[in-house]
Amino acid sequence: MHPDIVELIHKNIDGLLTEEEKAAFEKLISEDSEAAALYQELSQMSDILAQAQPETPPAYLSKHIMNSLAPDRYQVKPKNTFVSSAKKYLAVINLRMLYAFSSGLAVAAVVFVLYLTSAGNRNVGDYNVLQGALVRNNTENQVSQMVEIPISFDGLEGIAKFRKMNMCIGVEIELNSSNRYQIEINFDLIDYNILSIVNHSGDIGIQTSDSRALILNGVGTNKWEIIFEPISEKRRISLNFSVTNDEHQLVKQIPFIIGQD
Amino acid sequence: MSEQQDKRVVQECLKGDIKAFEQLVEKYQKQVYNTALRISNDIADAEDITQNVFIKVYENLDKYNSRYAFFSWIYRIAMNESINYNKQKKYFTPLQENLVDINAAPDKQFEISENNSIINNALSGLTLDHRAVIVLRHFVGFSYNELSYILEIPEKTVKSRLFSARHALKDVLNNKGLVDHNAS
Repeated sequence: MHPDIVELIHKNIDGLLTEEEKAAFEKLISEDSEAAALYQELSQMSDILAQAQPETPPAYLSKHIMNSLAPDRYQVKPKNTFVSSAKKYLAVINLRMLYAFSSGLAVAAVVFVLYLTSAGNRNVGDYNVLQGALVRNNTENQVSQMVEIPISFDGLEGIAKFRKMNMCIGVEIELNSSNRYQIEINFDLIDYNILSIVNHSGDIGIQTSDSRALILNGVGTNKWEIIFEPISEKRRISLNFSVTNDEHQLVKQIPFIIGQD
Repeated sequence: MSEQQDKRVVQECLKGDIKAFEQLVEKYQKQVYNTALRISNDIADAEDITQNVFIKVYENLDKYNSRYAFFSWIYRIAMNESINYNKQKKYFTPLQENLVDINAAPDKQFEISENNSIINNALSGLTLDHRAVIVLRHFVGFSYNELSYILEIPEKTVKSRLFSARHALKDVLNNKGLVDHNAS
């Protein structure tokens, strides 16, 4: 095959041939069957790509994007800057006030150190609600609901945080007697590692789990908290949550999801 | 919205008007989403990539050099994000055979046309560099010069990469019986 023909074929596909090049291209193609075959295949490939139609992104995408932006990223700074404010206030602070202020700072420092030393031993009580608790009262013997929880953070820092954070799914079960019930939680859209399961009544039921579902068996009124780490990068969690109690005594179930602050 | 209007909207965002950014999202999300979809061949990944791209665009608006088209700048970020996302992903998940995420909730499953599915599957047989140059040239229609800016490689490298990517894609389609030099 002539060394120039490959470039001419690609330029022709891109519609970039000059009149002079076009004449040379047609001459070379007519004389070289191998080049003609290559041109035909590449043209067919280009035609197939040209038939592709753009897909429409889901309607919620732009809302998710806007919710992910840090609102104060380009906030206009007020004219009354910190330095000018400080100068203004320092002018009226006397020595007695300074003494009181530094004493207060010392107390705050002690409190902060105490907080830091206790932060290493976090438990479920240290988690904050990320997305408002999903509350549903129910008097039926079986409830089932699909809950999709989009989690919005502020900017890239928030996303990085989500990838590192531990989360907790919980449920409060209230029965009007000490009857048995079963909770099934199906995880969709995320992969996860279960870190721990806490039952606040102290009565740990039988727990079974596979890659997508977690089944808990409990007795009587109590509260469960399942702490897990998401290991995928998806920022949505979808839970198919069901509670079954054969004795028609389920008074209330409150599923919630919380994440480490 | 023209190129000049894009730049005006960027200035509004930089003055603290976050709502102005929505105009840019509405204008470019479809292109970015489709590019991410062609590169990743996965709907959920394409959504994540698109979201990450716009977050990065927003976070870096103050670094945007208005000498270049805003559209090209978004694509530069989109390409980097798509390639990096897919490089990271290949260490964790096997290649997908088709586009529909079977784990997605039913209302989140979108129909992909058969033709698009064939094309995307063929593209997934290429390296990420080859996929990128094919997508930008054939689906978006960027010039060699624009590709050079977006991919951050010399124009000469753009041409050689595009040519070898086309040959590789032609071979993939040939193996699937979709191109044939004997066909009329």
